[in-house]
Amino acid sequence: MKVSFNEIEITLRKAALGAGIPLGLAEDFGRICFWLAIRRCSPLSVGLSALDTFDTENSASGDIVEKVPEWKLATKLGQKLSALYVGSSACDLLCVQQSAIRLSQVDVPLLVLVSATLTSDEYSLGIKVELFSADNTKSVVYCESGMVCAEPKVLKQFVSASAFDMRLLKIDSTQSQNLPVLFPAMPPDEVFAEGATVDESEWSRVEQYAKRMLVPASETSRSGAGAGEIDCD
Amino acid sequence: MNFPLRPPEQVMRLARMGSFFATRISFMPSLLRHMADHNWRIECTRWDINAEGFGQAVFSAKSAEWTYSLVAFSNDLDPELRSDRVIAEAWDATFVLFDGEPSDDDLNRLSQNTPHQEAGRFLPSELVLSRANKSVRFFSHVVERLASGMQPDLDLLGSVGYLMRTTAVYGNGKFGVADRAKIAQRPGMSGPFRAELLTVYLIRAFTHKLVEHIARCCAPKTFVPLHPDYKRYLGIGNATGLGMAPFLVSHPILIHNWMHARETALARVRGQIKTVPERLVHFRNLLDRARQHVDEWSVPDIRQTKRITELRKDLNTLSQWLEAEPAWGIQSSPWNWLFRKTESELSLETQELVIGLLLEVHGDLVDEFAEKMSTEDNERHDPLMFVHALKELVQQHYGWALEVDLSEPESQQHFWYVSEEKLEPRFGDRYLEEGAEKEMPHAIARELQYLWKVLTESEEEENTAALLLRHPELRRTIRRMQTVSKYPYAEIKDNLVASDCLPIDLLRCKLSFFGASKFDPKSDLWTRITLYQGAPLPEDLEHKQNLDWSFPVLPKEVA
Repeated sequence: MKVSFNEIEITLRKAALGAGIPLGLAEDFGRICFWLAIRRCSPLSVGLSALDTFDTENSASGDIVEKVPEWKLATKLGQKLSALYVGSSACDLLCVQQSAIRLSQVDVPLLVLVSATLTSDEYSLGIKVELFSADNTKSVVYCESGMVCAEPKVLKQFVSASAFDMRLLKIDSTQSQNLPVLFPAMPPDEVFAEGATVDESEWSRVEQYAKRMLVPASETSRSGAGAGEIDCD
Repeated sequence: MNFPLRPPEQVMRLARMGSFFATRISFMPSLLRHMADHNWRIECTRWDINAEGFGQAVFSAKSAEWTYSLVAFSNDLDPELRSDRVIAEAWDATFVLFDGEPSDDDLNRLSQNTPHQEAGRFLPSELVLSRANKSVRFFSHVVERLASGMQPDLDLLGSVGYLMRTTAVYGNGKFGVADRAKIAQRPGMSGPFRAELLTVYLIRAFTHKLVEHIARCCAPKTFVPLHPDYKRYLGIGNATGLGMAPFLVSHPILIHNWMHARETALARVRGQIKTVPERLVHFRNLLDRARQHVDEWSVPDIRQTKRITELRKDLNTLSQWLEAEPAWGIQSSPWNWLFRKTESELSLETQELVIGLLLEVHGDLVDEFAEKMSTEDNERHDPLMFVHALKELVQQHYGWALEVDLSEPESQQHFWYVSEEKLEPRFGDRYLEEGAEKEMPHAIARELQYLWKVLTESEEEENTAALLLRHPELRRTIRRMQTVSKYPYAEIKDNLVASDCLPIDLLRCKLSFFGASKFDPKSDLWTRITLYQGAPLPEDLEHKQNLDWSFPVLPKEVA
């Protein structure tokens, strides 16, 4: 089915609220899903993955567990780090200090990558994002001024990975010069003429999360909905 | 001369916002100016409507580069289903604004979806979705009169003022229609709600043609068309409820831009050291017209009737001042003198109406501000800011919120929520109704007091990033506060969940920016209004005539 990008942003934001995510982070999540949608990067499956993991308590927010030699964020109870929380938090911390931020066992790394990309744009930062696979193979992506630069094969690691460690660090603008741009800062104009095609069952699942924030209708709620039942005035 | 703007503490209060009037930089007048200036053409390109007035029609608005087509479906509605409630499921007429000229396949698809409105599904080729119901008593009257060779009764024309009223106008991606980003850079579409208000303008043209068509089919030999003056007076009614209110809270930067444009325009006019006789004459004539407009504004609502009565008295006083001081226009800063005197002695409604008058006679100075009312900016927070700086911002911008006594139950009497019925916002009583745990984030005073408590318990040198890691629930509040510090008109400085909060004030403020007139409150929660009353007809735009249409008044009676 076709939906608008605005519907994706707002519905995913409401879904995050429905899952119990605080509003400011839910807003960030909506923007991230919008970013993914206008770049045709499956926002619903990625978003649902994060929502489901958090909703089933398999992921949680994190705390700083180490500051030397680098800052490290992890959960206290051994769960995965929820990208719904940690993407925004890690990028905030990266803005204010020089050392790298290490994230332990992130549930949906792609969301953190998009957080870093949006941060690179909003705060004019260069950010290097590293993803460590189970065999400790490192995949590296550079985020600059809203662009994502990397070898194309690397992105697959972020899309398919789950519960892997990540590391974010500030860089200067020369480091990514020779890498291809995987995603430019602005999508092509045609994207808004085409809209987004989503899987109906996934959309329905997102809506189910969003519906948790709705209040059942009552006669009182209807009294704010305009005129009387019949209006032939 | 740079004149200071009225401070947000004065402007961003519900009582004042609920007294706003449209100005020439409101969205409808600025849209029509653009259309006239850029030679837009409007034509009916399809009219498959039967003698009873049912069928489909297409009206196209063409600029040099773009075509926008209103596709209208007129239905035979069971009178028992006719309701202005947003929760209705059937209407007299349903519409989409199509981007371009629809093919037969497009029309076929739209005929399957448009009459169902929210229950249908739409594509990015559609820009706006809307529906309307007839004002049955007036629509029938006009058909009968035109069919019998007469114009409508003038009193009835004045008391209703429209043939149909819309009950919802949806754009910006709702139900699958195009995102605003698709058209936001196009000439004429960059301002707020331009596509939605173009839709309403085309609906108005449709209603004019529809009523004439039915009358002509009834009695082709005796039929007369609507007189153009009567036609011009016929706008489109609108019933607006709570769905519109939260917008002002959830779009702080946009609201700042609206308010800032209006206040800057006012300041520019007040800053004029001298004026010219032509402007003084224009002002006097316009004041006379505004007085007549207000004399013709009559509503059943007791509160609004009192305000209208006071407004009539005030405008009379204002007129007397000008007569008593014939040299007022040649003194230094005459418009500021006038505004200061109004501000110090007359009601809020009068003060805000006078802004409409002042801006209207200074189009050459203020029209540019109509193009500065949209935004591409997002709210963002500053993770580097220290706690002590955050505390300063709270004190500087939210002193009013810290003063709210939250221990008083009345201070949190209400809560805003979204009803599962059509996903519309509602205004509940926290102590009587279920659902407060799902309230929308409009209890700004309570949120700021919680932030203040956390800040006072935190280290002064802690930065926002670290604070938000400990308190992720404050992310939105801090982001909003840091945004508001850069956009001073972004926040309403009243408690929106207090027992004395009147949502109707929010509605009127927003609708005044649309350019609405004849506010007719039906409760504290919803209002009827008229859109495009007195506005130029499509042929007027083409000939660049009848473009001065603020404060519309009844036309002279035509035989």
